[in-house]
Amino acid sequence: MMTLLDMGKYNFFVWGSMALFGVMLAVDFISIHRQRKQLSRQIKSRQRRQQS
Amino acid sequence: MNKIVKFYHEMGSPPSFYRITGYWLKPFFVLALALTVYGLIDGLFFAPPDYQQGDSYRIMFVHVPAAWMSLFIYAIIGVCGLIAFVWRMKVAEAVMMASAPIGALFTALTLLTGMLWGKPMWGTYWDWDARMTSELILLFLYIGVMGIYSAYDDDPRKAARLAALVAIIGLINLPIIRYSVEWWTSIHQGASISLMGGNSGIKDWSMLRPLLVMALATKFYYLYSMLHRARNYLLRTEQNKSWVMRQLTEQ
Repeated sequence: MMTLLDMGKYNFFVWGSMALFGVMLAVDFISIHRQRKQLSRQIKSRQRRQQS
Repeated sequence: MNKIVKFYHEMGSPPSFYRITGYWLKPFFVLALALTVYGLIDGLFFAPPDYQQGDSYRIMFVHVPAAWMSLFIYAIIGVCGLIAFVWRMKVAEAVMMASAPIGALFTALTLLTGMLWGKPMWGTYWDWDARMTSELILLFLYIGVMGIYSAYDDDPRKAARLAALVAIIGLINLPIIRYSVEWWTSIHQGASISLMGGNSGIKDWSMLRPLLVMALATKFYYLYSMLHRARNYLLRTEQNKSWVMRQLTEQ
């Protein structure tokens, strides 16, 4: 396993780049879903207030 | 009416855009995820090491697709900005503003992975080289487009028009980034792929394949994220319309 993951003397740079790629896209993915939930909750509560 | 023209008009209407794109989200995400997994496994474990750069060149499999996306997304923003500015089409505004944060993300990713590649190859994380500086300016342009929009958030239509203007002006930076390594002396390497069949660029298919797969994966992820954000934009800006409530109660 360790030989498979070994990038010679460039371990930090290669795996650091891959981690950055994964983390940044994961943050984007989470933020769009959180934004969506917040927005629909906000619109629904606004509609309820207008109806009552 | 021609089917394409009919589709274009349908996509120009916020309720239709919202409804139609809802079907595309899952396939785009699945494609992005599958291609990313395949591309990274292929690039990290199966592509041969470079004869000069050794294993460090594998950073290319995330750096180059991210760099292509940073330019591609800005071009989309510029075109949508033009449509929004001239024809005041709401869906174009939505696509433009939805694309900006994703473009900024890919630009930041390009700069950071470029720094991680630069250190072992050039001996420095950063140099005020034409390619790096123009890419940094691109990041500021993305931030500028989002900043202008947020400054006039109480009037989204006006905010989008002003953001469109910044986006259109910023288009001038795209050819500068693309040709910076040819116009100025640069420590940055030339193009990774030559479309004209020249001598520059990667020739080995086992290296080229994961790069092209990752380029496709990032395109699909952009489509997924952009459509999600554009749909959110339309919900927010049209929240007083009846179709929004209908959509939210249907879910």
